[in-house]
Amino acid sequence: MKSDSKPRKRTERLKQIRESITPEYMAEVQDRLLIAKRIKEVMEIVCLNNNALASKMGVHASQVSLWLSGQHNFTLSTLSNIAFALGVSLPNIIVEAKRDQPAYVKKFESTGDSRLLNFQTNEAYKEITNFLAANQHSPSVGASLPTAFKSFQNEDGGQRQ
Amino acid sequence: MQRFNFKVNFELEKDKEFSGRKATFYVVYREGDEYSTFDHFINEWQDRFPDEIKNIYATLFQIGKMVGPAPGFFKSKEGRPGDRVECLFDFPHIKLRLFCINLRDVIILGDGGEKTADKWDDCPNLRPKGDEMVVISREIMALLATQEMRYSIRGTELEGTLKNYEDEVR
Repeated sequence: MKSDSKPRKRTERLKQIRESITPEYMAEVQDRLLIAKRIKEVMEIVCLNNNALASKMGVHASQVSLWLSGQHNFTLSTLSNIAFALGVSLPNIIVEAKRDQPAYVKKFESTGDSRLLNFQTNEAYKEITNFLAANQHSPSVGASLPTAFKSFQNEDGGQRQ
Repeated sequence: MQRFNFKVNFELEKDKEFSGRKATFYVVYREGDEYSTFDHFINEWQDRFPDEIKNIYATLFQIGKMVGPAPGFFKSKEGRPGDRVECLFDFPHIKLRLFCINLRDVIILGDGGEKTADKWDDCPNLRPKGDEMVVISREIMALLATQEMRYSIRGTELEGTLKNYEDEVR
């Protein structure tokens, strides 16, 4: 059996784009995505969906969608307000939303809402725990990125890690 | 539905540019095409939107290798119910939209373009590409349903038949 199809190619532009991106820009994109992901994780832990967080903060739900997209350039003020609305500290969001668990424990103590204690069955919590376990020796995931990205650039292609 | 009543012969191929320990990306090759639909997207739009293309590249790179997918990264329900067609990105200040099929740790990159209308259904750039992605997604869902295409044990890759057509016999 023989195929008539042409040989597969990748556009040369991919290589050009890759070479045009600085490690600093890559690190910035990574931080944006990580912060967005962590906010979503904490939202799940404290049982807030997009609409509920938007309502709590007095913003439109589309604003929350933008925050969670990883495409928003957060100001310190916005991050601080989000952390406050979620009942966690700012470092909890920025550095390690996962290690500092008291958000829902404190909330349980103040509200008596026992649903908050069901976090062990929460899929997001499992992901957080796994993430922490995988990164416990790494003070900052972002810090390792430039090296990893340089390595990727030098190899002229992607590789599984 | 009449609108999606057309056939696309395609093959999925694992993308090495973005795939990593956090997610696996696939690109779509139409039958007889030497470039993937994602490559066509890059070729078509990079000159006009170099910064957005750079951002898309960096975002996909990070999702695959360092961060992993998250629900907010893609705009869901862009296609038809159940087809998992999603979009990267959909915000007023961002012009380009890239269609994807989001299967959690497996993400299939499609084509896209500049959004010039409120809904992609009304956008001449996006409608044909979105419709094609919906059709491709249906074919993929059918292949997954029959187990001709299946997830790897860890759910991070696709195995089995990654195409929906037979090669012609010479």
